[in-house]
Amino acid sequence: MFTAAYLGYMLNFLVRNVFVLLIGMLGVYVLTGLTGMFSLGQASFMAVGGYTSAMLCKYYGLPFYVTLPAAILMGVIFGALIGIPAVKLRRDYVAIVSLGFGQALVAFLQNSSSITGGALGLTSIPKYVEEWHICVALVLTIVAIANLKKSRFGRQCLAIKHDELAAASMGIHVARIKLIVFTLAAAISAFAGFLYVHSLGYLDSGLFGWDQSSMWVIIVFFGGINSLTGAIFAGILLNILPEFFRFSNELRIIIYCLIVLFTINFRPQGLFGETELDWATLKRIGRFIIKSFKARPTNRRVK
Amino acid sequence: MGISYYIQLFIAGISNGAMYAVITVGWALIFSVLKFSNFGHGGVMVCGAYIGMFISKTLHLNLWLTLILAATCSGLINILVEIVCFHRLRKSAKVDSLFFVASITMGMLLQNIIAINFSGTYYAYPSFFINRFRRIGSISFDITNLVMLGVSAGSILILVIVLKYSRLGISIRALSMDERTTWLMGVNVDKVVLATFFVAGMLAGIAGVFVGIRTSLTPQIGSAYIIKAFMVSVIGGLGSINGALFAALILGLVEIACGAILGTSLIPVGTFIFMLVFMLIRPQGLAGIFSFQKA
Repeated sequence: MFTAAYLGYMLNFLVRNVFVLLIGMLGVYVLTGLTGMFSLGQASFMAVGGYTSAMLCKYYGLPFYVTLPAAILMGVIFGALIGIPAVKLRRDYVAIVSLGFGQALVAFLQNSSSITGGALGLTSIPKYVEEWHICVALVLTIVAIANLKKSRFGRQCLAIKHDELAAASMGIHVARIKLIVFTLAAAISAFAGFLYVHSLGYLDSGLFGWDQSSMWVIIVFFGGINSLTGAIFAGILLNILPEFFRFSNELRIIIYCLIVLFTINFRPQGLFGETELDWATLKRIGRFIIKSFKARPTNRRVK
Repeated sequence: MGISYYIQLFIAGISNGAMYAVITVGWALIFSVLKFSNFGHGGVMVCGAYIGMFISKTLHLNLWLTLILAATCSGLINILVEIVCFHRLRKSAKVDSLFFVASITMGMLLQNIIAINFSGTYYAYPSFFINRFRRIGSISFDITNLVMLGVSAGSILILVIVLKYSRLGISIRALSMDERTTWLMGVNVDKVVLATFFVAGMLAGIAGVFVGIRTSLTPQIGSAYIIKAFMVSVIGGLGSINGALFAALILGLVEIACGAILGTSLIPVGTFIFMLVFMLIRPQGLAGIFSFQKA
């Protein structure tokens, strides 16, 4: 199983499929893990970015440095459009508004065959995103979100997640920050959509329904909602897992569901809980290793 | 396109709404008692649909016995879902969002168990009625729709009577108000929660049988109908059963109207716009009380 060809295939699959979905999922991390808003339609923003870039590129022949900002701009516009009613309502209602929008968008994309290719999808989109572009984009996104979490804005988001009323009484403008976070998450997902389209050359709206969005939310919770490392690790793990069980096609999803249920039941704070893989954790691990090297045999039993 | 066209659309909308009403009332029951969205309800509905089909095919029963047996089996499956999935979460962590993750995964699991075993061949319900389509004047309607309307109304009526007058119903209503006080009053909350899940499972089973008769019988109907149930419940006011009933009828009519105007495939767009406008006008839903979420 571990031949060179298989490893090459796995690496290619890892970068092309998993990393791009990981960037989209990082948008969900910003929304759900940092700010506590539950959104079931984030994958549709990936569709927005992807379709914008694909249509501009295919029908008007614009180069990538025009379609990339255009895709992100469309993501921002749609995010703001959906965010403005969503942030004013209760927490449960963000889920329903985003869910409804996701379903409506996918239905619209599947039925306007003349513009968007409908259920058959758009084909022959120029592929100019290579694997290293995707890796660089992923690293940049992770660094950006890690810095966001440590910044003042990130701390405001965490405050909103833990207790909205207390955050508002501390002077944090809750509705404005929620709207900014919603738009940011939509922009990140649109960027992921752009990468996905131009690395694959084919776009079809079946990937962007509510099951993909809910899978992203599940991944964020599985990895620990407070931990960025957990989200990345869980994203890679849960996206690769079906590949290992490729031999038994039926049991893939069942094993995936059982793993998630097991983890949720027995470790509800997620795999990583609160810990992040940052400098303080690495120092703690280093101290632990050094301490175990210095251990001496002690506690001889005294007769 | 005379008046009979609109009457036909109206009947179609009402029967659509009746189908949504049964599954939404089951969902709203769990939401009002345990305060979380149970996305696994759709999986139980699919199980009920397939069980009903097998029972009616192998044992050659008529519609009523099939309904009762499928409802009982779905109730038992829902009890199993509660024991496996939600029991530990209720005891330990009080984060609401974890329930959502667990329920979605459970729904996916149930749907995929069914899809593994049964999605290869095409299954359909045997026909329960000899003469299914009748005509009155120029209006042709489906007997199944009327039966479904009747059974939905009857089952929801029975549920309301049970909730109002029986001891179990009073315990459920007490539990929906405050869990800790219900413990203090001497009610075994675990047993009441199991009973709630059983009742909700029965309603899901009934809904599943009717969805299987009226539309197709695929494993994917679970996720499609749970979204509709969520939307209906939001329009009707989260957790309120009366509101869910009216909102289901309204949404059924709106969907059929959107289908007539925009075409069947663009129904989600029309439904979303309707829901958005409705929530901007009246965010607490038809019958909901607007409680300010403190944290």
